[in-house]
Amino acid sequence: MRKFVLYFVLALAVGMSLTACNDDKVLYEIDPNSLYSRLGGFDAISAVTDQFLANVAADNVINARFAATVANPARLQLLRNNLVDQICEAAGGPCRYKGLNMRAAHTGMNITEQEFNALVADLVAALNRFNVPEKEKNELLGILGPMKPDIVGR
Amino acid sequence: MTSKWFLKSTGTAAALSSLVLFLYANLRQPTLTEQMLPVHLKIFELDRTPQAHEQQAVLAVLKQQLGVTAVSFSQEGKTFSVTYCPDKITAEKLRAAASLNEAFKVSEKTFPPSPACPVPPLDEVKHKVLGVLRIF
Ligand code: HEM
Repeated sequence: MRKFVLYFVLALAVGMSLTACNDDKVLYEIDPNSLYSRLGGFDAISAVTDQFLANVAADNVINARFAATVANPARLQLLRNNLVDQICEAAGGPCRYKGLNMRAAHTGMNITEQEFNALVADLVAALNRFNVPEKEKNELLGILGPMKPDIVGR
Repeated sequence: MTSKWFLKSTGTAAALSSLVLFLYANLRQPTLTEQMLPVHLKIFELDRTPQAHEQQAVLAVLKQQLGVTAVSFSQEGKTFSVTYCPDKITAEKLRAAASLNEAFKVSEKTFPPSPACPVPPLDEVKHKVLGVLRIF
């Protein structure tokens, strides 16, 4: 009986730990018509994100906002991973965004509309750099655009 | 007797659970983002505004460097940024390459200290700990 209880607890612990922290949606089939697939999958999204980050860093309208992030590799890594996960998940890919929600992430920054537009222009430039077609570009911007009220003026 | 058994079995269960969690943290498949090579990002400034052909030359030379994942110039042209894999190239090599054999003085751009930069310190600590746990 005691042995049974112990084995039961052990099996439960193994089962719980193997199912609780499944960070990516690995078991999920990727729709070939999803925006994720049409953008070119994970590698294309991570390449666009690096270009987007570089564009933001070179953009003198907003780069001072990211000075502390750029100076700290762990923080930069976190932001990059969060952006990749966010775009990948929003586009229907197998990632899971684990960062803060947009309101929490940007509260206290008092971001202006001009800064928001500058960042969107940097994203568009990154998408253009990889020749992302108009349809896919608009779909992605259509997903990110509604986040504006949670980001501007907070 | 019963309380001793209870203590022993909960202790064993807790130890086994910790072991299983430790193994899981090390053996679980890293997520797609965790598998990406880490990049650094540097913002540089040229000592003068480059002409269009000079900007193209700087862009081309930087893009050729092994480990560079993205390069971008500001609209005014004096500021540029590079994302790169620190395992493959150093910031110093990038700076030297961008100088086009000393045609430009290239320095790292500095910013005045800004008070409005909320750090998510818990996230940073969490990721550092997870990074250390992944010993395999
Ligand atoms: C659609 C627009 C935007 C999206 C999708 C977005 C997304 C994100 C994400 C995912 C994070 C990380 C959250 C976390 O740490 O958990 C973040 C942080 C941040 N965002 Fe935004 N953002 C947007 C607009 C802006 C704008 C316009 C600015 C300023 C000009 C800005 C400045 C920042 C800063 C400074 C951080 C903190 C970076 C760090 O942790 O070091 N964001 N954003």
